[in-house]
Amino acid sequence: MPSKAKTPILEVTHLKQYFPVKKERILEAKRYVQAVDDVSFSVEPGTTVSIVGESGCGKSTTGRAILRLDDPTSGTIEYNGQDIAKLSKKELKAFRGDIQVIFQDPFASLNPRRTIRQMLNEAMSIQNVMDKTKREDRMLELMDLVGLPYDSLERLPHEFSGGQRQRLGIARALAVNPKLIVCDEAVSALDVSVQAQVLNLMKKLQKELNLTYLFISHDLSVVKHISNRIIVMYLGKIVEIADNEDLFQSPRHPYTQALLSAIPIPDVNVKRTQIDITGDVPSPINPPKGCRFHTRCPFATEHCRTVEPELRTINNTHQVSCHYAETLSF
Amino acid sequence: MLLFIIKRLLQTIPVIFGVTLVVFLIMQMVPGDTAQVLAGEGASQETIEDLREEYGLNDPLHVQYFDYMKGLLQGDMGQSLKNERPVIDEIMVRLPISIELAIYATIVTIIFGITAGIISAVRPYSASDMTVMVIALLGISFPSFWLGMILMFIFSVELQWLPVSGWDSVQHMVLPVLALGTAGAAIVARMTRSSMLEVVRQDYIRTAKAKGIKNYLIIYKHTLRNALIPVITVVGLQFGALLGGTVLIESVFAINGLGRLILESIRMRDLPMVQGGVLVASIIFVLVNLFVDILYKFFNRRIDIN
Amino acid sequence: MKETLLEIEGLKTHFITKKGTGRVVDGIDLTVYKGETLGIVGESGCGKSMTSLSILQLVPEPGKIVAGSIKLNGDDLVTKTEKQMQAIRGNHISMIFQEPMTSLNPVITVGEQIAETIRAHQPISRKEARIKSIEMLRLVGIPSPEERAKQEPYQLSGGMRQRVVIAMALACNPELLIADEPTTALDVTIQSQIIKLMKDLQKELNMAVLFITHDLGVVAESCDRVAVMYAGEIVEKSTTEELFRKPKHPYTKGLLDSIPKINEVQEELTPMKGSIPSPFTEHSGCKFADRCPLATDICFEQHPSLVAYENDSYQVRCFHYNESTSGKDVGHAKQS
Repeated sequence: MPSKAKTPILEVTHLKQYFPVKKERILEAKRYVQAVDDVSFSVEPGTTVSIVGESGCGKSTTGRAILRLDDPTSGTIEYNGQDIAKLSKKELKAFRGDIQVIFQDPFASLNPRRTIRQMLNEAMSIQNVMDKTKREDRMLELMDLVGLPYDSLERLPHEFSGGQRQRLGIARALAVNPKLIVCDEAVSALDVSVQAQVLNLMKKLQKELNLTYLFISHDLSVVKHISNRIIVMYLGKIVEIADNEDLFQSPRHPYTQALLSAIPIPDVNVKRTQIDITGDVPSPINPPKGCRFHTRCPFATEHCRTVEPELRTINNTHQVSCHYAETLSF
Repeated sequence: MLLFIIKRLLQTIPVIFGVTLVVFLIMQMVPGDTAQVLAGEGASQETIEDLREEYGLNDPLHVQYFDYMKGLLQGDMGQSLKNERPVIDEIMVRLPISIELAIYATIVTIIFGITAGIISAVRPYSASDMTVMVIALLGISFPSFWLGMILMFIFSVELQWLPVSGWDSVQHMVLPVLALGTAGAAIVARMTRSSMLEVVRQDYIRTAKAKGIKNYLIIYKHTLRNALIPVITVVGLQFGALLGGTVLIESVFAINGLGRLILESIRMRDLPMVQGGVLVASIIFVLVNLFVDILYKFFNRRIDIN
Repeated sequence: MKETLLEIEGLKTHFITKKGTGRVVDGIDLTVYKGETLGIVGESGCGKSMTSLSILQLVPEPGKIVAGSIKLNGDDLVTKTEKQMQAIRGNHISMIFQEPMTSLNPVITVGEQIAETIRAHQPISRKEARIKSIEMLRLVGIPSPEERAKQEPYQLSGGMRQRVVIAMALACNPELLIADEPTTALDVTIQSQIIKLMKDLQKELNMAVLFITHDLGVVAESCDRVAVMYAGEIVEKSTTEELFRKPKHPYTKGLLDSIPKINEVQEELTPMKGSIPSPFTEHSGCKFADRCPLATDICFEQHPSLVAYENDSYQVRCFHYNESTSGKDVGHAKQS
């Protein structure tokens, strides 16, 4: 568990990310997709913080903002105490080296005609991480780290299987000695037997290299396995943040509870108490008033329909945005 | 949707404005002297000078252009230098013939093109597919005026089945329409084929098969409807190309359409007439494109959304 | 005694290409009883989807059924003509696919897509079919079905579309529904809604379901019996209860160990080594041998056959299944 005294490596404060919607009619007020709406959290060095939620909850948008791929509508993102929106050119370059990303399919964006050696070389030369003479050694070291044979360096992307590609994605991220890696659905496309290999590798690397992960996923079992702290998002808002065990042992938000109870467990001995939530996720263009979850919440009251709950601390590390977090029992 | 239409309409204004400017400048740069042509051969230098003064040909270029635009905005395209009739009247006589020709050719394009495309796509790489595609390739390769002349030679001169030229009856129309529509039909056939083969691979076609839907319904209802969406754009673009093609075909078959009018006027250096003709043709082209865009957006809305 | 609905014997579906023969489905024996849910579980490329497409005779090029029989109520489907199959598809056997976003035709209203299925198999008028399609939409829990029927797929959410797909599949009251990863593309809360719906409808309409999935969790929750596939073969087949309590095949165990458990704390996962072999690979022994922790010489030399364990309802394809069960207890049975 992370100790409390550490200064965060990443601090997101009141992040809002709105995207304008194309007008359909002439006399229409300008509308926005409220993809991320006032999100605050921090990540401590050497830990894994996960953002989990269903499609459209804003988890990937948050990740993109942290990578500075989109400029936030409002709010700040601080990396080691520095606002990433205000970095100088030189600082930005250093930042781009410190933060790396692993996507679901890292090879979707790669030139299929360049070998792995060329790819890694390019990554290292852009960041200028080391002497050209030492790069060769570093590449071999990277192959060792991610558990691939040395001759992989001479091969082309399409010659690798899904699991190997994800290992290469990790190697590419590690090539520039990053501090923080954003993993956006990094293992979601993999078959379970391969997924387990990659997850173990990521855990091992974290220990060895003292990496920090921001792990974005829809898969709660994976999130549970890898995270120290978990952020649950719904329709652009954080509904609950807690340490791993705390969240799984005593989820306080009805949505978290519903998510947990919806996961099918490969074990015939476990009989789950299922909380049924009906209907679909509402549109983020015109999110429900009050608590955004009230349209699907089995416990919603009039109060929930009108007053938006704050994200509040219910014990020192556990935050929930539900009016009835203390009194609900599932 | 309405917003989209209005936006696209506004976008056409600078395009048309640009067309007037380009046409004007090109006509200025073409060698030859308008006044000379007007005055006829053997006219005295004095007559030529007088004519030049009368038609404002001595004014600086920008003044000439400005005058022309002023008239245009008032609905006045000027007068023909040849016979002093208003340009607009002359165009209104010739335009319907060209439009008729282009529309019939487009119908040929659509009917032959889509039918051939379906025949090809139903059994890809079969003998029927290969035959259709070879014919289509030839259709694209032959220039329309050349095809026109060949058709004329075979059917009018040798076989004497159809009249050689003019635009008076259905018999007159057959050859020019075929000559003009063939290239488009060939392009549409190839597009329909590749689009259908693309659609056939989609998941929803597999779903339709899994439902036990009969083959002909899978082709006509499930595949063709989706496959035609990109074909609409091609047909629209073809219609634009046809307008250009009418210039040649009208000349070959001696049809008094807008294209032939423009061609004659260029030869006569009848500047207002050329400008008027090209302008009207451009406006039609732009409007057709706009129409196609709207159609495409309408049909594509269901796919676009994801 | 359970009544047999579908009986697959020695099914081989191969992809014959210039590179060689891909043994995508390589000798499958499988029985589906009336009214039950049979799960086929395995990782990508194990042949589970090709098995289901083989049943409907919808194997894509260059795939071909090269051996075996698929009998529906004793009637072999493999020998049927395309026309005869059209009368069976969507009528006696229906299928739903993974992607609700792409498995509906984008330019046809959802009502019409259901109605055309009914009209393909029943001599009823357009109007009657339309009324029936609205009934089906109501049955799958779509609110205001009259209006929804007139909409096109793009106007519906992913969960709604999968309900439409189900309505379409069930419109002719099939005896067998093949569900190929029906919930994989959906969010978990929507997934649990859809699984519940399928269970309810199965009971109501008394049909059998062949549930194809990679998700062992979904299998544990929704299937009566389960067959585990690996590299085109069934490696283990049993009741869900027995299989999850004490899996015998090292591959099944490996799969279960690979999944991060939501109900216990694990420092490290126990993954299998290597990856799934290509269907073009030639094997003389057990196809799983080079990834198997228990493999011995015999495993590389001889191909194990599917043998009964204790009783006929439990079958396993492994020389060492006795050892694998006496090994360490499978960690997934603990409760948190």
